[in-house]
Amino acid sequence: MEQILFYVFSGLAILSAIGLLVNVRNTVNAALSLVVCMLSLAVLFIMLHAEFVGVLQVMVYAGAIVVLFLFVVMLLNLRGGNMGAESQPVLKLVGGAVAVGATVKLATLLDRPLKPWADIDPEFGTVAHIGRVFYTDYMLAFQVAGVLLLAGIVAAVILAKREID
Amino acid sequence: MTHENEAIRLIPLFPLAAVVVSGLWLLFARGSMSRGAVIAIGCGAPILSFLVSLREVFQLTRLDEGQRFFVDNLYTWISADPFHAELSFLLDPLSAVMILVVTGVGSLIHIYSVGYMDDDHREDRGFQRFFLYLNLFTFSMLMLVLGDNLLVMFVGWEGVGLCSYLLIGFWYLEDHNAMCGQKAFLVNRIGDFGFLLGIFLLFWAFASVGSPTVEFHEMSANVGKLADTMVTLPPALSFLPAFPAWKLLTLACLCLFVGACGKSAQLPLYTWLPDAMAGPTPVSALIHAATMVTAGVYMVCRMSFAFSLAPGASATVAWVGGLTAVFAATIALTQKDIKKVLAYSTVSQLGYMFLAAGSMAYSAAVYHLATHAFFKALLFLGAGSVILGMHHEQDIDKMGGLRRRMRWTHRWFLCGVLAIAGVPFLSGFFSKDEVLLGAFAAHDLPGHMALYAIGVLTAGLTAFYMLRLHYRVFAGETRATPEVYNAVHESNRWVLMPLAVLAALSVGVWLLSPPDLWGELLFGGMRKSHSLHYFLQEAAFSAPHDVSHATELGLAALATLFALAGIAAASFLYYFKPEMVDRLTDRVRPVYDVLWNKYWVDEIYDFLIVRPLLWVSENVLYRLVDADLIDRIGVNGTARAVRGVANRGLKFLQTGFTQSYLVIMLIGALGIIAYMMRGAS
Amino acid sequence: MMPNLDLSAISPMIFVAVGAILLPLLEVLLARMIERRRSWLGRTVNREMASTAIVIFTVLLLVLALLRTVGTFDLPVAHFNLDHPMIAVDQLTRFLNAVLLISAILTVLVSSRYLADIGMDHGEFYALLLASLLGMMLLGAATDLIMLFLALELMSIPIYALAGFQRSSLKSNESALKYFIIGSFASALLLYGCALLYGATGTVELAEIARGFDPENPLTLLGAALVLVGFAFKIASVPFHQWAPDVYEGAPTTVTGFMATAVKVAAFGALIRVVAVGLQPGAEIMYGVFWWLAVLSMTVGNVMAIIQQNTKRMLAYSSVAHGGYMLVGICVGTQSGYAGLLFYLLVYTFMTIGAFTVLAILTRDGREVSRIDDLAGLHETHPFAAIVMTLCMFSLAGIPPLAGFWGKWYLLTGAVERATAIGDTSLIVLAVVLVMNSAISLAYYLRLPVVMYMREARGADRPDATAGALQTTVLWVCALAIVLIGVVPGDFLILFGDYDLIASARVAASAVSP
Repeated sequence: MEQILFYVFSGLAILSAIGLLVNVRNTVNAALSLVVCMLSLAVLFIMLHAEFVGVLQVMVYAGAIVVLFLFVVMLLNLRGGNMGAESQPVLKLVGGAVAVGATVKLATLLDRPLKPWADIDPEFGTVAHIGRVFYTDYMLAFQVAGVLLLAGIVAAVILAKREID
Repeated sequence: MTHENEAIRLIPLFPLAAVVVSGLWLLFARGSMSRGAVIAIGCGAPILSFLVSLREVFQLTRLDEGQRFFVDNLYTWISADPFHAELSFLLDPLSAVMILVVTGVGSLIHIYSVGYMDDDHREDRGFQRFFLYLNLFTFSMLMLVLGDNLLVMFVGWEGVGLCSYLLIGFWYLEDHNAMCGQKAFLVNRIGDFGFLLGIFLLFWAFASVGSPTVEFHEMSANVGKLADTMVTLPPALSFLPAFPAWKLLTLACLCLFVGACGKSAQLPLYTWLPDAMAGPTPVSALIHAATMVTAGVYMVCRMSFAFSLAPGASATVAWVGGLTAVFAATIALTQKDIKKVLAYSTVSQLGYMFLAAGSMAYSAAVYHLATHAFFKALLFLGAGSVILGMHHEQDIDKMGGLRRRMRWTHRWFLCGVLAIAGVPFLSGFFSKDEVLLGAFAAHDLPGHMALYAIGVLTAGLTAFYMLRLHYRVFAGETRATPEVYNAVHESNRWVLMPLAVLAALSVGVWLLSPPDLWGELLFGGMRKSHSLHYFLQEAAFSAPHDVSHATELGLAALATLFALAGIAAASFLYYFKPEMVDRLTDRVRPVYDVLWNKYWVDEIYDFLIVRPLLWVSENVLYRLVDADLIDRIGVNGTARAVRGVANRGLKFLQTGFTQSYLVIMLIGALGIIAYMMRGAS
Repeated sequence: MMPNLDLSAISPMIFVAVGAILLPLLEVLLARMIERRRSWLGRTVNREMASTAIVIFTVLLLVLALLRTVGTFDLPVAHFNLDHPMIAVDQLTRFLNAVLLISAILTVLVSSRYLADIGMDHGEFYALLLASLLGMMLLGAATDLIMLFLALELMSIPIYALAGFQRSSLKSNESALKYFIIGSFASALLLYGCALLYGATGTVELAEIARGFDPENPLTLLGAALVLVGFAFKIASVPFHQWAPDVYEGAPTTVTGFMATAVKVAAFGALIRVVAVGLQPGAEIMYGVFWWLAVLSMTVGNVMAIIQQNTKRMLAYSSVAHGGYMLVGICVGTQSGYAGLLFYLLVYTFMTIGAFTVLAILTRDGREVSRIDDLAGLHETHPFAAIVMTLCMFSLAGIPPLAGFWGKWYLLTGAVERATAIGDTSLIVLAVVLVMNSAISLAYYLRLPVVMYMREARGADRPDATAGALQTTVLWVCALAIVLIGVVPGDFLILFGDYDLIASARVAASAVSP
């Protein structure tokens, strides 16, 4: 059962990622493919017993980021013909070569036995566990992340606010 | 007993502070400071230095004999193992005499400058700028004499050279003055090059015997190890013909002496000093008579531990000094510019000092240096007063009879004239005798009797030309036009006061420390330790002489005879029978022309060195090497190549498109990944 | 279970964080007071008063942090969370923090007047600056990949916004956007690298990573390579430098000064720690990467700087080249190499801030003095600015006896020492390349003094400069620092307290190197 689910969702993820690329002229479709891709990944996470990450995947990527994309796409009202005005053949060529090269290199790397993963605590990755370490071991990181968010908000306000004075 | 004394640093600090304050003001403020402030800062600094110097020198005399020195170590200037140089000051008897002269005479000349520069309205901020330079000079000179090692000394050495250049060309709006400044600077560069070579050579030599140092005490302590080292060529230069067997110390000392020749205007590098008279007169008095030009003499005395082990170098010093003395004195016989006469006289007197130093009578050299500082400063300042009174006329053919219009200037000037002429019981008499005695007693010096004869002859010439100058300026009927003559006025108090002090010192400074012979004769049971000779022994050891007192008195009488003869001849020609001058001149026309044209040395240099050099530099170095090889092919070629690469290649990549930047970054990243993973299994 | 926390260890960072959090509130408060015409101390609150208050508050916090940092320099290493230290407050951290704080203080002092000149006098500027500064301070201290990444982002995001702070200027907007996009790309690579390292070694702590580092394992190497790429971007090393000229040119001038100095300081600090601690077992493999990055950065940076007409672009390429010089210190990889690098960072901060300050005071009514030729005749209109600019240029070129010369000197001696110790000629080649590049750099550094002093100002285009008191102070500080660090050797600095800068740098470097 798990095997079947795994192949279904990983296949879905790959397909939707390809769909994202193919749909480059239709941005709304591309964004929706991205949602499918993210949701499939979320399922994979949950199957790995990383529920917290799975939920975050749904909330942050599928929820916040892709919705933001869609808003932008709709607000800008992009149509097919507008894209690719700066299309650069050299860049495409180089980009393609880079992509192929990277894939080949990664493939050769994966084609060898990897070390077995260490066993982990069954509590690892649960919300309770994550909450606890946030307030003890990762106290500083947690606080810093807070300041980072504040700075992000201030930055967004200062850049985006229509009238400053 | 500690020799640390942190008060020494105050001595150069005061003028430095004045320079900083005044310099910052000139840099950032629009106008000049008020006149009062300029005077207070400009004159206050050297006076304060003088007071501190007095106090510290007094402290120095109270130390035990043989242990008389103070060291003030500010900080480690250069620390590059194994070489260390401290920025530190050394006050020993030698530098004590020097700082008293520099700050004492310096203060008087600063005060005098207030009166002298007052009528100068060529530039609004000139007054302040002038004092700024003077203070900078005082600071540099103090660094030179107080420096505890050759490097600090060299800093001061270059500093005074710079100030000399700035002050000779002080009225730079006239091209001639600026040219004279450049000439002084360039000729000095030749000397400085020698000095630097000497420093390097000495450092290298001391390093090779295991004590890499340029500090005076350490060098003095270790110099014995070098006494027998000969010059050897490095293996790489073995193809050169055999080098004459010279002692290393001789070579190093000769290099140092080249530096001294430049700074102290000796043959063959003296030509800049007469031209340096283009500067304001107080500058001539301070820099080109009393202090800076004596730096070469000071340096030879300071390095006496090396020179005394290098008899060849010492003989060179003595002969160059002696020849310069008589050479310059003959030129001074005919000159008509009041300051030029004094300038050649200075060159001649500096030659005297080197004559003494080369005879290893270092204390005599320093003694003459000190007395000369007083009377030559007096003469220059007196000449300055005359120039002021005559509204910047310097030709003595257009003077005469000024005695009646400038009474005080005349009196003080006469004191200086008599002192330099060697009239008995004025300071010049004693110091000159010491110099001549040194030459007479230097048995190891080849031709020391000839040098002695030259010295005596020069004494006579000196008396002659100084009296000639005096009569032409002050005595007889005036040759100035009536309007000019009637407008001549006595100078103001700022000018006269320093003259009076210097006149008193010129007459009586010897009383502070008469030579041994005269101390005994005149003051009977005076303690020997009061003589300068004795005081200086531990800083610059002079060989004791074996001349009996009777011989010494005879020598003094002979020199006096020559001096009096010179005075008599000048009085006869220029006071009693002035009409004979022209006839006599006509009689010896060829000789007169040679002297009047200063042996055509400037022209010879111009023909032999300057023109060929200019030709080579214009046609070979500039056109071929610089313009073609370096500029066109080297610099511009490289620049063009670089620009070409940048413009055609690299700039093309800098498209401004974010995407292309990302692609290049990605390529770079892949490159790094590929490089790092090449070793992965 | 309460965590075992030591707040005093990070007190300088707390000062900065407090500022970053309180300043937006203060700004809002003051804006309301202005709106409602409230009076304070008998005067109606206006914009100038508000900015003065904000600047005083900011500088006060920064100075307190600086004093605290310098005061605790000699203390042993401290940790915030003793059970799980994510940062180490050791001498390296304190040295970096001091330099960062100096850079920030100088930037704040220059900015108040500059922001008013470009019409963007808002308190948020300082809030963002402090947030970024906090990120930088943590970045240099991070001993943990999570902290490293968080600090990097905390440093970068406010800087992106600051680059676009001059909203009326298109170039400023472009600058922010470019920096953001490329920065995100680099961050992603770095994060990927961190993840791979975690995957390969099973830990995020640098010391543990070193223990589990297997130079044969492709995952480890890939992770290390990507981390290096991320850093190479932050220090603008060739070929990850192309954003720098565009971003430097567009960003408000004082921000450029801050970016050029503080970002470099923090990134190099973190790079030292990562290379010397976490990736130490891979040092030999990484050496080639750094070698090439250094050579390329020096050469391309200097060559490109020659053809620039815009002063800020020229300084941007110059900063690329200086990044290359500093990478030599990383290549050397010994205590003296790192010490030379740290010392260089310090002097580089003064020279660069000095140069950008001169450019900042030349800005009038939002119009920048962009072209090099626009500086013609500056010595007449503002002689002091011309002097400081000349000093900065000479120092950047490494002309003795200014500070920049000693920076290069310590890097070179480090390289030569190491090369002779291990008999490696490639380090000597690197030193030669450095010297040759210094010579090339003269071509553009000397151009500014030539233009300022020897060319006549053109009529109405004379550079008009009237610096505010705070800006003049900054010019003085930079000029004095350049001259004093250069002319006056270590011993003499004792007069100003017991701070021998190169010795401090050595102590700092010894915190991470064997």
